[in-house]
Amino acid sequence: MAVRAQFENSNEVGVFANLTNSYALVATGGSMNFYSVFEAELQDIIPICTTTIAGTRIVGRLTAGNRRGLLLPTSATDQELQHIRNSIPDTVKIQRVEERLSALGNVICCNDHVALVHPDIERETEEIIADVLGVEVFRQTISENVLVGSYCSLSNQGGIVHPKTSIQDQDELSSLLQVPLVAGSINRGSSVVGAGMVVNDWMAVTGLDTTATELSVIESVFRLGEGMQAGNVEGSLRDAMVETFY
Amino acid sequence: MTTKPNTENAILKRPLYIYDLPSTFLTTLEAKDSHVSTAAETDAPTEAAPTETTTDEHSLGMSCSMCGIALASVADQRAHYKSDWHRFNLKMKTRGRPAVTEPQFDDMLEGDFDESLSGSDESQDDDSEAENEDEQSTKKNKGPGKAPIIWFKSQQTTNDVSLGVYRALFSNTEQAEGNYLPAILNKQLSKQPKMPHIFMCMIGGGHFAAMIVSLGPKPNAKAGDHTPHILAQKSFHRYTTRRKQGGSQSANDNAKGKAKSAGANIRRQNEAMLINEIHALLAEWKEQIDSAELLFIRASGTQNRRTLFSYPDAILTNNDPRLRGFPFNTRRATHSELVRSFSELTRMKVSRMTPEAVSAVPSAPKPKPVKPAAPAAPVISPEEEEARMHTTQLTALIRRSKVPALLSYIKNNSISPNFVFVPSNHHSPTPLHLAASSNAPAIVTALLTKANADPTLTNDDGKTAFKLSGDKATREAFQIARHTLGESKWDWEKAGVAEALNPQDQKERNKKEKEEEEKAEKERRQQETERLKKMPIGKTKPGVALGAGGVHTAMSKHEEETRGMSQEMMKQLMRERMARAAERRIQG
Amino acid sequence: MDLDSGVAYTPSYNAQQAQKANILCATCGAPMSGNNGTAMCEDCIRLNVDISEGIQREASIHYCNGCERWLQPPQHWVSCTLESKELMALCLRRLRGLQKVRLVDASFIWTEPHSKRIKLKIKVQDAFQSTFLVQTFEVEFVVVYTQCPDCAKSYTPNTWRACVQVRQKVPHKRTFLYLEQLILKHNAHKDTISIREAKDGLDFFYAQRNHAVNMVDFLSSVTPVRSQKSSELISQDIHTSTKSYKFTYSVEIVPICKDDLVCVPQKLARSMGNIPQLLLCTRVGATLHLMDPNTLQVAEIANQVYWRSPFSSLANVSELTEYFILNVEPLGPQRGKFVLADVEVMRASDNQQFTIRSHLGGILHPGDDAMGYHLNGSNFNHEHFETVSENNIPPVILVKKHYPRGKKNKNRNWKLKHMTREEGEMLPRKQDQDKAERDYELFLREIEEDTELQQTLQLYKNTKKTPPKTQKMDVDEDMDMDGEEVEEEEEEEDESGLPEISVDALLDEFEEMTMRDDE
Repeated sequence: MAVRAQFENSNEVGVFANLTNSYALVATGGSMNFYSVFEAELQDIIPICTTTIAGTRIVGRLTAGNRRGLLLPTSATDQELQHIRNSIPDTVKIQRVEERLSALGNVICCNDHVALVHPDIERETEEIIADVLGVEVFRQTISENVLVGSYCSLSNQGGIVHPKTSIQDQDELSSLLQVPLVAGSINRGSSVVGAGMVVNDWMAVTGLDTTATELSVIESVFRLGEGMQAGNVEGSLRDAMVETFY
Repeated sequence: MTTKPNTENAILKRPLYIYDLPSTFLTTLEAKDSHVSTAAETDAPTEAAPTETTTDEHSLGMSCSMCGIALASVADQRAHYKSDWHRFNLKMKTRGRPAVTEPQFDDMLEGDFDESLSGSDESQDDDSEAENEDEQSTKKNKGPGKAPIIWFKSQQTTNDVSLGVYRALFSNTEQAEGNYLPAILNKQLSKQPKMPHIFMCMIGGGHFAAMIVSLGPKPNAKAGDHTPHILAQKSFHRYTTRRKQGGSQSANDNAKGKAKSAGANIRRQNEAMLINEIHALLAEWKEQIDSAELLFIRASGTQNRRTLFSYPDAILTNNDPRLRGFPFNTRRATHSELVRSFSELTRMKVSRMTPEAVSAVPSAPKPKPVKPAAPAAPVISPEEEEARMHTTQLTALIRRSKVPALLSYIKNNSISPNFVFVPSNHHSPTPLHLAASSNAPAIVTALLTKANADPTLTNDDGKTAFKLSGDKATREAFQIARHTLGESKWDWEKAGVAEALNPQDQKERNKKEKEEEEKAEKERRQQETERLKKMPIGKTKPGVALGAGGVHTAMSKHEEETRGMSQEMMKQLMRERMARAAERRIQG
Repeated sequence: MDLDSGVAYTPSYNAQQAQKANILCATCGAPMSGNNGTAMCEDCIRLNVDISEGIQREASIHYCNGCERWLQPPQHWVSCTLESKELMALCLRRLRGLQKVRLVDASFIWTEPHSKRIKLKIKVQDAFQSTFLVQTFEVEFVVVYTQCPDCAKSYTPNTWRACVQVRQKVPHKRTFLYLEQLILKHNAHKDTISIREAKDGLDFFYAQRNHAVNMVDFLSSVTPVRSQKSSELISQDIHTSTKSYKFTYSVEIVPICKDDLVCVPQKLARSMGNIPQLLLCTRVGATLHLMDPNTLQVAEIANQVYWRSPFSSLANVSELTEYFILNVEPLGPQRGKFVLADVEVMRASDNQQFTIRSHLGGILHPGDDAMGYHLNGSNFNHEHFETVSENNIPPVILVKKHYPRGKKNKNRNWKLKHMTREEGEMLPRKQDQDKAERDYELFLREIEEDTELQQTLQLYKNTKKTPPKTQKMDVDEDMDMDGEEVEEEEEEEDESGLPEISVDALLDEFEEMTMRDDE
């Protein structure tokens, strides 16, 4: 299921939200519209945490996380950390990362098994990512872009990369990540697929400008369509979803 | 017999951790003849199963287009993507520079390569896991002239399997006794009352890495899991080496005086900071270091050794019996390198060689097992290393014409006089060739007569040593040797040496030649003087027009004298001249 | 036709598609290469992207109705016709944002001139993410009427910054007529905003001070003048202490003309080689040329010397009387064209006879008419004249030969250019006009008679020979030839002596001049 949403007239959903299989972070907005979109889809499945990071609303770009953990930049305040800690499941490890490249969402792109990171990220951060998120970490670029988090959107089912990515690069990345990848765009031709959408294993939220073509590409590669979904979402999550949706 | 391969497989499948060998295997272990070498080794099967299931459909992307290699499996691919080489290429790519090939990259590593691949200058992680685990377990011994690895064999394995342990792991007393098998038994963890630990540290090129690692397993590790249990770990990197020029700043300062550039100041500062940090760290770890079973330290160069050993209240001492170097090549001082070294040290090396192959190997004066290259970087076998060492020594001695030193070196190290240089030199592959081509008659004589070198050997061009000799003296050395050794000693014709020459004859001939030469010179001189005498003097006057030392008029002379003089100087000169003239008048 | 175009199109499309179709177009879903950075196919880009965005679709353009010129910002006014290249350039330059794209084509769309609209059709080209886009659009310019500063100035008084007031305190205008010709010849009036006639002279107005200074320099180079500068503070900015002034240069020309009789101060006469005090002025250039008709002795008075001790003329051309020459006896001495001679003359008015010495011995013949000053019994109220002893005053001083004129002299085969000048505030009185006409006629005659003078001026061929009268001549016609120079009755008598100006020496008429004459 892929839905369209807008955060205060901005289509860059991935900037203002972070979605994983076990929790979602949403920026506090002037209106509740954006939050409601997430709530409508995720209520009773995973907790949604409305927060700011370091006082800003670009939570999606400053944080990175997956089912097992969540990484925050050092600029995140104690209060925010506490709030997030209280809001998301205890099994999720939260860790503040002392990293020069503080927009973690832009430099880290991960699912529950692997993470691609900016080539210049610090070794300590790399180790923290591996520990907290429980993933294998690869330094990588996506079609010559170092901001892997911005130009790649990844779930356990599949991933979208920058439209310029060559077929060979896609194959290599796909083999490395062990998920199918396609090149694609979001929000009517925007190439910042990472910042333009959020995705987890059973839903995606994209900008309101996203065209039907783009949405269909997203649904097919992330296996979000009605038919594909049932077979691929695993275990308890699937049960919960089935409960909610039918 | 039939069960053997099975058990062997079972045993060799997993890396053999020296401190925790299976008891059944341990009992069957026995020492091997130390001079039997094994020519080939294989690694035990290694790779842990990948976390993801590999499917065939992705085999298409099993490559790295950036580094230009194809990879066999997802595991390989992942390993490659984590390698320094790949990371370096990634960096190059983001800077828009071409990627380097693996040999190029290794060359760069050998050189002064202090680029931070990890992107961090300093790191600390108290319980990080080992990153890449090599499956080769080896033990090693220390001591000059002794093989670094002690070889064992087991009844549980086939005959062609040899198991190696680094000598360095044994204490000095154990080494002195030379009885290694019981020592290994004693080392088993099951027999240790308390988990022993060792201290490892590397320093060089602004990098410093140290860790204290327990020999025991991790507290909650499963049986057979030998990921190192690191008690403490720390690595620093400071920018101290001079980019592109190499060498540390302090070394450069000592050699050439203080450089004043900003970079030099930064490096000097960083060096001082690095030293302070290292000292603080060592002080912090003092207790654990004191109780450590062994201290593995890599510190090449006086500067680095001074940093570690010679400062007030030094924790480490130069004459500590526990002190060991790393008996193999190590790379840049990083934490992962320490972990690799630990694995390398504490795993048994497994070497396979069929009995035929063993017998085929001629018994060399110093047999050295050829160690296979470590997966990440090729390590030169000790044998080759020794050969290289001899090569450098021999060439240096020959070049400097140190006859007695050369002879004693050859004798002491029992090197064959026809020793072939390593790495191979196609022009002058043997000492005799080298001596001939560098025109060292004394060395040639010594090698031929005293060391019994074979003059018939040819280089890659098919030339004997005699043909390489560049001057008469060297050629005569060969001829005299032919005379002294006698025609029957070598096939002199084959060696291309001209007919024998009696040293007496040679001397006389030399003398005669010298006299002739002198005479000729004398004649020439005489002729020349006569020619000069005949020449009319007036003719020698060179043309004034050309100004080549022409006749000086009084004016020009004066000008010449006063050229470049200041006003006062000229005045003074004039005054002096006038005074002289006045004097002359009065006297006259 | 259709088949052809279809065939031509398809392969290129396939080739593009085959390049690398790895993504779907975001809007239409067609497979395409993601290599150009956007996820939109070329067709969709053409549909969606407006490269002319940011280029004005409407603009205004200023037009001065008075001089029919267009404003080219910031302050240039150019005259160009509708639908001309120049106007196109002007319009395109007015469009903001046109620099960002490549202009391919532009053309005018016809509009009624009175609609005060100019429409341009513009074709631009730009590359958007490696896709070439060409777009055509219209821009409408509204023509706004504005008075240009020049026109505004022409309607507004006091727009000048500097003024040159040229004065000569003499009763006639001949000097200024001559000066006008000199100015025209040297084009010294090119920066002049306006020229106004004032009493005893002309005012030249300039927009900038240095133009006025140039004019003063010019004047002092051709005539003996004395100038004075004065400035008037118009406004002042006390913060920047910048001031704006109006400058006035008062230029006074020596009040002595050619053929005037002067009486120089005794002291000056002595300093000039003890020349007699009574002298005739033969020429006025940068200096005054004086001559004693009795001895042919000449003197030259420099500008500064004159102004050290100024003197006025004793008598001028208007006071000449006519004489008949009875006999001429050359004495021998010559100086240039002048020949000293004893001349027996008879006054035309009363037949009184005199024998005098004159410098005109070369051109006078018995029976000729000559003009001269009658000193016998004349009273001059002049301070220097009083110092001249009676003995040294000849009864008559001949000045020039007199040529009798006929009607046909008015059909001159040459003419002069004129400067446009403003009239003074008051309309000239009738007698002033008459006087001006007389002065002009005298000036023309003087040119005819003096070949030297001709060479310093620019004479033009008179193409309208049959109706020979300019406006001024009409006036001339109206007036009766009264006064002293009425010789018309003898017009047919003798014209042989009158020098003709050869047509070859005349300049072709300029278009500009014709226009002036028409005005």
